[in-house]
Amino acid sequence: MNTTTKHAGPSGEKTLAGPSGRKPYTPPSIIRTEIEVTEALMGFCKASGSGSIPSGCSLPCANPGS
Amino acid sequence: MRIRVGGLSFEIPDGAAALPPALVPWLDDNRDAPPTATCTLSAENPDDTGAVLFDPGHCWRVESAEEGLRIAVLSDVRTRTAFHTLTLDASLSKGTVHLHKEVLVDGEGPFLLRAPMLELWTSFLLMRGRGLLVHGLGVLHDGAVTIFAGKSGAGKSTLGHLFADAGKGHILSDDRLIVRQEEDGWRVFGTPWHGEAQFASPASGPLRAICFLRQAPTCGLVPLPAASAAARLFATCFLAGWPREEGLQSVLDICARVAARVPCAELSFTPDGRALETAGFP
Repeated sequence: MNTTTKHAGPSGEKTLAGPSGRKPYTPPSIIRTEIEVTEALMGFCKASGSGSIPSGCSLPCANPGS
Repeated sequence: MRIRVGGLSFEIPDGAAALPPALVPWLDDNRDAPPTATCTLSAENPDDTGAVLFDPGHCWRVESAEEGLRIAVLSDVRTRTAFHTLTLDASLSKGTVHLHKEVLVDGEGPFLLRAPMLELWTSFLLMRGRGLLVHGLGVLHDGAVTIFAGKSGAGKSTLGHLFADAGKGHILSDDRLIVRQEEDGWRVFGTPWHGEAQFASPASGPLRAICFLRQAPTCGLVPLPAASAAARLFATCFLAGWPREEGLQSVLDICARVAARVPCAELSFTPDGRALETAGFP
């Protein structure tokens, strides 16, 4: 008969022991990474620092279409 | 005229406007294949006033349009009411630009795809499964490109100057790169959208490796497992696209595929020549 037993993993999290003789199942770790939303949505302007394209800006990086 | 950025070509009516000098290197004389997208200028304001679908609260937003969607870009940040518009069909292959009257002048008109319209259109196209727009410095050296990825302030332009001063490699951009899959693997393209060091080149090359930048007291290079690398790569991608869920899924998928195939590492560096040695450019 298969049994499962809850026990603490290396970092204290609960893992489920599989059938006897098998390596206990450990959930995959969660990778956390920060996203700068303002940057990711291209809502920033280095020249002005205002978070947007300044009116009449002639810098090629900020406004190549001008 | 035709502009090609990251392998995506944009057909723009000849004589509609003078091409900004910053975009001249991206002029494309090749007419063998149809363009990815075609753009026209309309003097009329779009008459189908659409609902706002997504507003990131900055200089652009997405609105609905009769046959697709519309990207509205603030024409004046002071008022936050006047917008240039780029109306796109559902496939994003046909665009109609209407420029707000404040930029319209007699005689030669302004360039249609004013910033950041061309970049946004490129990003929207890429996020339909075509590739990534990555926040990074790209260095083409010995026939392949190393990406040094990181957000603003990570040191991309600083590192770009170090490469330029040392005469090592050709810099594709010190801020924004396009990564796309080709038959023989992943390829990195330079873009017109540069950083503070103003490196911008239309050149491209196969992707050799990705280093995620971290400023530190000492230099070091630590290989990253694929899952961590995929997450780090996602965090350095630009995510302007629509529909949002479809676009984010596309970026996630491509990040995972790139990270599974390309060596990735975290590069801790000091702003001097040791950084280049540590990254493998002695």
